[in-house]
Amino acid sequence: MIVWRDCNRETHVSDMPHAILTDIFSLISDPRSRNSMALTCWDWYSLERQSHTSLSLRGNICSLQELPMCYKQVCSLDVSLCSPWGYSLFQSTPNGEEIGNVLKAAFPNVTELTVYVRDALDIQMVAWLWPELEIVHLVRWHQRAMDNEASIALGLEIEGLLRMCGKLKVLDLSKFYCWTEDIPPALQAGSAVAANLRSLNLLKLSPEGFKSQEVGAITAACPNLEEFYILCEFDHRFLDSVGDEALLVIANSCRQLKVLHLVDTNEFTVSHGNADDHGYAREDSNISRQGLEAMFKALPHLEELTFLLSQNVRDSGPAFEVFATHCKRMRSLKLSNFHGVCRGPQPDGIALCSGLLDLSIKDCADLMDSGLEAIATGCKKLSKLGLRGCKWISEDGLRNCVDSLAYSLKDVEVAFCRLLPTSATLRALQPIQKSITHLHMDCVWDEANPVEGLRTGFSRDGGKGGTEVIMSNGKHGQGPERDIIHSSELHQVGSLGRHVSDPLLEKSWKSLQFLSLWIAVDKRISSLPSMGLGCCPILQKVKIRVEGDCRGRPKPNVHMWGISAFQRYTMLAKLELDLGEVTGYSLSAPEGFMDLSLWERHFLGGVQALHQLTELEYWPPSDKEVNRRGLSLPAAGLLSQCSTLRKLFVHGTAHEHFLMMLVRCENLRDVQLRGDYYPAPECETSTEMRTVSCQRFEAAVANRGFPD
Amino acid sequence: MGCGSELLDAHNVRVIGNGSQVLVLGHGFGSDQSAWQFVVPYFANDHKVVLYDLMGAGRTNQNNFNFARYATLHAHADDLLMILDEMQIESCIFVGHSMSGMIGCIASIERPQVFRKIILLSSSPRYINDEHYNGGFEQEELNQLFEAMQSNFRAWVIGFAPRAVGADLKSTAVKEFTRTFFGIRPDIALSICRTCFQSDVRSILPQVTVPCYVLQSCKDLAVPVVVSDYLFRSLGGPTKVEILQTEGHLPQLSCPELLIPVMKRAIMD
Repeated sequence: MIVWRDCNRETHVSDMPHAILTDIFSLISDPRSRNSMALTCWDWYSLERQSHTSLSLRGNICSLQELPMCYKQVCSLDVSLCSPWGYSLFQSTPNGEEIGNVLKAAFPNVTELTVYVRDALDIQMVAWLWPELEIVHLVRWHQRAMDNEASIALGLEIEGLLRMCGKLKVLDLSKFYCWTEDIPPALQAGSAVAANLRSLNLLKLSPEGFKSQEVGAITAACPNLEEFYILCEFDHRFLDSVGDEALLVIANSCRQLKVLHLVDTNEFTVSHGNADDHGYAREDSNISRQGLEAMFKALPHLEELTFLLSQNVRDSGPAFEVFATHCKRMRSLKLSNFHGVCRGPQPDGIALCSGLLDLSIKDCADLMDSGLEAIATGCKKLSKLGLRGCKWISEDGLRNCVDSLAYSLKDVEVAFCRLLPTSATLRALQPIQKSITHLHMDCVWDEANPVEGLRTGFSRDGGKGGTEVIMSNGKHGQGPERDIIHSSELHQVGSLGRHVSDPLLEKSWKSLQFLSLWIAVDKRISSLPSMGLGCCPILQKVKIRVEGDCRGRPKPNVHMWGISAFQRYTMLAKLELDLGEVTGYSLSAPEGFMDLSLWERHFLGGVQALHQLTELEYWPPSDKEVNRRGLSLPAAGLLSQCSTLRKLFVHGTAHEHFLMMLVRCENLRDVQLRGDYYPAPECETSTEMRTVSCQRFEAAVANRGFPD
Repeated sequence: MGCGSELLDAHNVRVIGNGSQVLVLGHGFGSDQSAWQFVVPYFANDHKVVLYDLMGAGRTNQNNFNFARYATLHAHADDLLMILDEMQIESCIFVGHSMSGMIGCIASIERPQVFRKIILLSSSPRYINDEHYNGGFEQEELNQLFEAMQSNFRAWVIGFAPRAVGADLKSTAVKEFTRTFFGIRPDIALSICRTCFQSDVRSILPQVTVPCYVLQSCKDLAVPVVVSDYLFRSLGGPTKVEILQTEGHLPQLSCPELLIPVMKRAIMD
């Protein structure tokens, strides 16, 4: 509440005219604030509801009679997360049509919709209910329906949408499972609408990429596209792969393109580390410099380009110089497996794109420090920089680059760069320590010896003047608390004057809001704060991805992985813990092997110490042999201890009795199991998730009530 | 217990495939019907395969678990017969893994005409060693297991995190056998554990008149090979034994490719 004290009288914020208040309200997006505003008085309530234009619905479809009717102004609606997750809104119950009518009555003005659909019938219902839709995001993690004739017909699903929604401008299939053969016939059948499409996202879930002919058919049907995202088969060893000609066809058909994402099929399936010793991919691509230049010349309006290949394009520098000349509006560039992009020391190649704000280079085998510095010189406005798999970039090179870009750089990503372990990355980022807002890096510790039993030691690196801190795992029998004590000991030691403590540990990362980390399965995360990230006062969201194979590994140290080390970040409200790529045995362990429940206990141990956490997203580890990603007993138990948690989303399955353990978290109000990994478990073969279980759980939570 | 389709629903009964011969698959304590996922496709073409979950398995509504009733195996045998009645199955081949094998035997004593054949996979009538009987486990080994179960139960009741998992146990044999027990709700897990290790079905084996096929891994720490020998000698009906070149207590999950041909032979025989 703003209270202005004037000389004579107090002016209250609600004295402001409604038009201005509405504008102010529409800028507020946090749902809890909005709810508080709406509760203040009837005036504010109606204003708030009028300016409430976007809503994500979370509720059980069986209790739709409780649907609030006051949100009629909503024009952007997300119903893909309704309970139970992954079930058709209209076909799970006998009164599907009634559900549709209720939704339409409650939200008559919807122009943007995100919806989970299982088959053509669902899509048709959607189109019938809201024929005025302009933006549609279809979600389907389940496999494409194959059980009746209508479903098998190619393209029928999307065609239904195109036929009925004449105003459709944006079609987003990035979370939709379909076949490549479904798309061209659908676009051709609904050609009138296709011709008006402004944005088409075909980075679909199933791993096959579109072939050259399909790309041609799609772009021919949609000549007015301004945004085009497509998964392509670039591998020249396949028949009809996408090559130079297809690229030119895209450029010539869709001359208005502002955003273009061309992604190779391997991008989502193959993990990193496929390069040979020199950093190159095993095969060279068919895409040539001339092909690239021809494409760039034909797309003068291009502002954002993502071009991710899994085969090499060598000496691409000159092509990017043509790019810089012709695509003057270029703002965002993401490349993978393009080599020779910039040699330096004078700006060349991509460094000539002076208007670039966002640059991400992945798997470039020959990007040297000089090239990076040239990029910093040439692209002075760069606010986001990403380097993945660039093995020649050193701490000095990165530091100089960051130094040159100190005024604009806010978002940095460093991953799988051999010469940049965590502490080196953090030192290199020192020039922007106070201004960086988003950071991603790998947790690669400079540990002298990861074996337990080593004493902790400080050593002085005389050459550079900084202090390199070598942290071990601590002595056996001592948990992560000891690691935290170490960093505070460092401060004390500094004040005694015996050692100079690392300046990094004292300064804080004042602006850092979002941190994303990658760590291998056998490393402990508790060492993170002592690597240089000790003080992050406004850090709100952390995403951790753990990767590795647990099978055959020795039993993890009983003491915790150290997630409680994150309690030092007092503003930390949201945590995403992704163990989805931790693979191991669940039930199928051969004799003598351990199962994943042990590992879940290891990773989640201590999570209840994070008192400031309100939202947690968790991907359980997976047993790929049985396609099972489920919560185990220790995981459910540990999660149930998080008393401050308000929202919990588990991207996997869980037994009903494990879910019931979560009812104990008093503040927990929003829990969902989402099987959003490909392929999603079908209801019939799912081992754990059942609709009635979800319903019983939600009823239990509702009965328990909420303290605030 | 409910009647009719409520019963089938409570046990998650599923029927897959088509064929004149009905094949009923019963899983062991601690797992659920998904233990058969690799095996089912090979039989669905020629048989009507019926899968169900024992009460107390992870996927069932655990509020239906009546502790007094399920203290012995006979209750589970009754459940099985009720399911067969409800589905109007007059004759079936029953494949029981671990405890389900014994459950099948008990059920067959009551209604021998319903069971054409029983295939016992990794089954044992008694787990604890006796003076003249090698069941595979000593009481001391089991103490650690019960301690773990009890600590989980205590933690669960108070509202703490149950933290003991199978891999913590020292005895490899116990670890292997109870690997799946730690996925059940702690109070039910404790009850099932007691039922399992207190059960001694040896005395009723001679009353089984139905033909039996006894299968087990050659290296199953929970079921020493002598147990199969004991079953062969004690079972009342015509019995055959086959020792599989597999390891572990759950061959249907860890090496289905070796189990399936043997099962096929046993069924066709």
